[in-house]
Amino acid sequence: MAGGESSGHAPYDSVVTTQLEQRAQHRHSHEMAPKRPARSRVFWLVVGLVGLAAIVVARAATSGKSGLALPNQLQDLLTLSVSVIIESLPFVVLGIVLSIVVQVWLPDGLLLRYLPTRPVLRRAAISMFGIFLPVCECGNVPLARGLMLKGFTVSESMTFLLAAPIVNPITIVTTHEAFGFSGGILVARLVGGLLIANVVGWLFSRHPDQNSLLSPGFAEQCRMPDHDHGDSRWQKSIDIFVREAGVIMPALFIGAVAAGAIQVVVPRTVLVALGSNPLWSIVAMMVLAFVIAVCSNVDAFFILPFANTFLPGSIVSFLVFGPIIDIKMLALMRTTFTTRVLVQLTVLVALMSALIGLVVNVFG
Amino acid sequence: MTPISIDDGRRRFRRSLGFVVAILVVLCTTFGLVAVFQGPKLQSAQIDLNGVVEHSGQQLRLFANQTVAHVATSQVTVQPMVPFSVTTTGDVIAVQFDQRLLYSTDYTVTIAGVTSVYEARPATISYRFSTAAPTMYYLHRGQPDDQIVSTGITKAGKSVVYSATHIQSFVVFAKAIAVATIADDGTSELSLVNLSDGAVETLTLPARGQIERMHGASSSSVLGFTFTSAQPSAGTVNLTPQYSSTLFTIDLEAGRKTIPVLGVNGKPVRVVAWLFVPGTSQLIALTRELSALYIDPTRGSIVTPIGQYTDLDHISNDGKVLSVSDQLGSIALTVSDLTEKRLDASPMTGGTPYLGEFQVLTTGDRIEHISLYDSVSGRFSSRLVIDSGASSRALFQTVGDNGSIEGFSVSPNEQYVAIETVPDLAARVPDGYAIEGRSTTVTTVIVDVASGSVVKSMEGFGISW
Repeated sequence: MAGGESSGHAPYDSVVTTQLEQRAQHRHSHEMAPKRPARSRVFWLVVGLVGLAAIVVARAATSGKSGLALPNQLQDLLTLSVSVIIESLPFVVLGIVLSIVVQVWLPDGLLLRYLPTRPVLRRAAISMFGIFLPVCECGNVPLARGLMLKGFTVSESMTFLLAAPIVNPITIVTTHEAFGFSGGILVARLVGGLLIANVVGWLFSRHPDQNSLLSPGFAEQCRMPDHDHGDSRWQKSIDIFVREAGVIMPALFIGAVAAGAIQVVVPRTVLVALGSNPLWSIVAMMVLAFVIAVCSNVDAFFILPFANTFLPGSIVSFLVFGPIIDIKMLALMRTTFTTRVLVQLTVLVALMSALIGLVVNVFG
Repeated sequence: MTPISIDDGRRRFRRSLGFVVAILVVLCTTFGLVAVFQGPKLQSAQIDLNGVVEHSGQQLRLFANQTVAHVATSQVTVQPMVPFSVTTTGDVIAVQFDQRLLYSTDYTVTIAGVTSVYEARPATISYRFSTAAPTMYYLHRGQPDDQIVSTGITKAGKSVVYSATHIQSFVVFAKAIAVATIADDGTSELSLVNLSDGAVETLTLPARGQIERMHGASSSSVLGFTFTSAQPSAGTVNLTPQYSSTLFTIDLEAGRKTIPVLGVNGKPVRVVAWLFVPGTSQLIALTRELSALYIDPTRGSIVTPIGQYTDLDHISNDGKVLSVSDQLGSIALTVSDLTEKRLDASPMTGGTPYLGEFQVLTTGDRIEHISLYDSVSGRFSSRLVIDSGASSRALFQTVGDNGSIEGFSVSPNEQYVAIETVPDLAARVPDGYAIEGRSTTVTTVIVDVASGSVVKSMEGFGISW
């Protein structure tokens, strides 16, 4: 049911029944999306293979020729963008696979059955899901979408989406490897991530129309009843994989190119120069996190060389803000949430990340 | 409960959102101001609590939470006062102690006016640490077995680290103890006792014979001793022993092979006294020909003659000043330039002092074993004193002047001196050991150099700090 806190008023979940809950309550096994004709699939497969072959041939034909090299800035753009894509791709695929497991392979209501009924405790439990999922932030987008399609409310899925990349086991291990327990960075990151996720989840649970938080396309998808046309689970899984990959991959590519472009335009030295100022270092680190869009599983190692220049609080801000909000994530989350929600989310997460960093700087 | 409309709900959501954002802005502003006005803070510190009492030149590294501006020595205070220097690199302020620190002592380092390179907000950084009280070892000759005992300097507890019959001497290394024992036939055996599991390994000696004057290099795993091979049996053509007070070294972590130390002529040196230069594997030996040699056995036995002397006692803990003597008396020999300073004991009340063995401290004062002649009674008595060069202060004498001072050893940080004494010469009973025999009543007394107070007394000798 849609999450609304009981605070004197009747909870929204008693008066506003979204299409999501209708889906959850009426699992009539309908087909989830219209299938793309087989001929069309083959056509695009051929286009892709021909394009790939053309690139390989062009590369082989021009490898020995000087003067055909790309300008330095364009080379940087390509390198940075491709690195973000390569880094994220395995986790996106893993996220889609986990999403399929949740939607198709887990028994109906299994996850919902064992969660606490009180919304606060329920979101707190959901924010811990990430501990069992070695998926970074980009992989969590399809998984969060899958949770919504499986009956979780928007605010609950949002809680999961925000917390999971920070509390996932790989992130915990890499952050510990990089910083140990020095400066309270690891603890502040974990506690901060959970805090932000639960506060944001609580806030958006107060929204009376959860469906309106979703992008029109995804909201439409959610509204479609889940009728079963007799497809096997494997067929459904393939359908979901194709659909999710079709939505997520373009967003990933656009986000990666944007991240690469901004890094080419804005020199990192500008950000590093602000390093040791207790205030500006936090802003600089959050901007850096937003721009470089590095995966949460490895961001601790990325930022480790900066640890001697930047204050511990700014490192924490980087490690908390980056996995939730960056260029790539905004592009990915735009597949699911409205622009207004993303702006609200960005402001909230930025303020809370900055506050956590400042608290670490003051008391750390 | 009354259901509310969607519009009311949206308004309530917006109010909640605005309220949360406003709260966050206020909190960020507050903490931001606090952070700006706070100045640099101490994030962590590194110090080797054992190292600072064992070696000079150790550092306390203070890590600030941000890059700090240059810190001058005048900004730093250390309590209790010790000489130090300060360097600043990035977010690290390193305080280097010129001398070894005192055992079991609380030190407080305070740095005033620390500023960030970006903000001129001064802050005071303070760090407190307690130095270690290292374990010391001594040899207790008991019945039925002799024991190597470990104990704290000021604590009462003790434990037996190794026991065996007829332990002659020992040297403690980081992971093991080298132990020389006397076999039934009067020859020495050399063993290596693992400190962690007590495993004993027998080391091969150059021949059957006797070990004497065994020392260890404090900074490495090199063991040294003089060796005299056993007398050839009757009927042997050559009756001259193969080795006679020949100096050998063994690197316990590199082959464990006994290697003779070579002299100027490239032949093994035969010595009457020798010692390691503290903190190195180099050694100084006084040959039978009374030639003092500075030898680096690690680099193919590079030998430098440093003078002719009749005796070699001690070397200062910083390795700079050697205590030697010749026919005319005691000399403090500076190793670096071989300048000699002839010494006499400073005047003392109660008699005329005659200087015996001595050790120069890094402060320039000297720990001296003197014989005090009372012209009224016509008696000599033993004293251990600290001599500034102008006056002396007594550190130890036996009760009723009935005993003798057999030797002394200054702790690495020069805070304590261990004095080997026989309390009552009249009751002295030799232990009958074939090699390096001692009195059965030999006792080691630990005296605080600063106050002259006795902090500990043990039945035994051969203290290893």
